[in-house]
Amino acid sequence: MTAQEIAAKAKQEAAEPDHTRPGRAYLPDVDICEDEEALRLWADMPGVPQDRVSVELDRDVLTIRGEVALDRYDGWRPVYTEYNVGNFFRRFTLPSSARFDVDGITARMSAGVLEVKIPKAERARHRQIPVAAG
Amino acid sequence: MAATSWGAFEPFADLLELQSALGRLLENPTLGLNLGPSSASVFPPLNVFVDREGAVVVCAEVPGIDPAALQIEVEPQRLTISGQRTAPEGARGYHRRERRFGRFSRAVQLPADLDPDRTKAEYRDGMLTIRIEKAASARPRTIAVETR
Repeated sequence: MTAQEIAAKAKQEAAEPDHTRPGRAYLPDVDICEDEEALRLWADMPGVPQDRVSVELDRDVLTIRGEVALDRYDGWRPVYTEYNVGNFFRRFTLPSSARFDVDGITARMSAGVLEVKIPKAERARHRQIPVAAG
Repeated sequence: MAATSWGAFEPFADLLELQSALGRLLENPTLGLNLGPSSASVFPPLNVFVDREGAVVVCAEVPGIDPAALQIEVEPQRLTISGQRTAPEGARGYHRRERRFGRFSRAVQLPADLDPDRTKAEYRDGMLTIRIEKAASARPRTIAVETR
C-alpha cells in the first residue's frame, strides 16, 4: 500500500472581505458531500476554538466564519514564517433550500474542523416505492 | 540564531499587526534561522517564533488529526513532525473536495542552543505548538560586578 503524502498549499484570501472583522480573512478548505439523508460540509479552520465559530443560513446562503484565537501569540516574535494567520470566512449558495430541513441543521467543531449537517426534508428524500402485485 | 538581534520587544496587540509582521517575513525569509530544506510546499507549513523567555515555538496548522497519530521527535538540532490525517468514514457523493488526507512527515533543523529535554508539545483546535527551551548553558547569565 503506497503512503499518500500530503502536499501543502498556500491559503487563499477571501475575495469578498468580511466587513464584520478587521484584517485579512482566508477561505477554509471545504469538503461537501451529499447522501440520501443530508448535505454535509467539513471546513478546516485551524486555530479557531469552538466558541468563535459562526454558521448562518439566510435563505439559500450559508455563511461560515471562524475567528482565530490570538492571545497565544502575545509576546511572541516571529522569526520564520511559511503561512499567515487570519480569520476564516466562506459563503455557499445551497441548491434550492426547499429540499432541506433548515431547522434541522447541526454544526459541530472539533480540532479546528467544522462539520455542518443539513438534513434533507422528508418529502425530498429518495423513496423506494413498493410495487404491489395484481 | 545568537547572531540575530531582536530589537525592541513588540507584543502583538491585534490581528492586523500580527498579519503584517508575518507578511513581512513571508516576503523576506530571514537568514538568521535556518530550518533546513524549506518551502511552503512541504506539509505542514511552519511558523517559528521566539517567546518572552527566549524559547523557540514552532506552530503548525494540522486540523482534524487524532493526536494519537501525531509523532514528534526532538534531537539536538532537529525536530521531526509526522502524522496521518484520515478522511471521515463512509462519506460519499462529493460535490467538492479540497481537504487533503494522508501521511506527512517533516524534519527541520533547530538552532544549537536548544535543549531537547525541555520540549512541550500541545495540540489544540487543530494547531500543533511545540515549545523548546534554551539549554541552561545558553541562557543569559547575570554577572555580579565585584567592587573593590
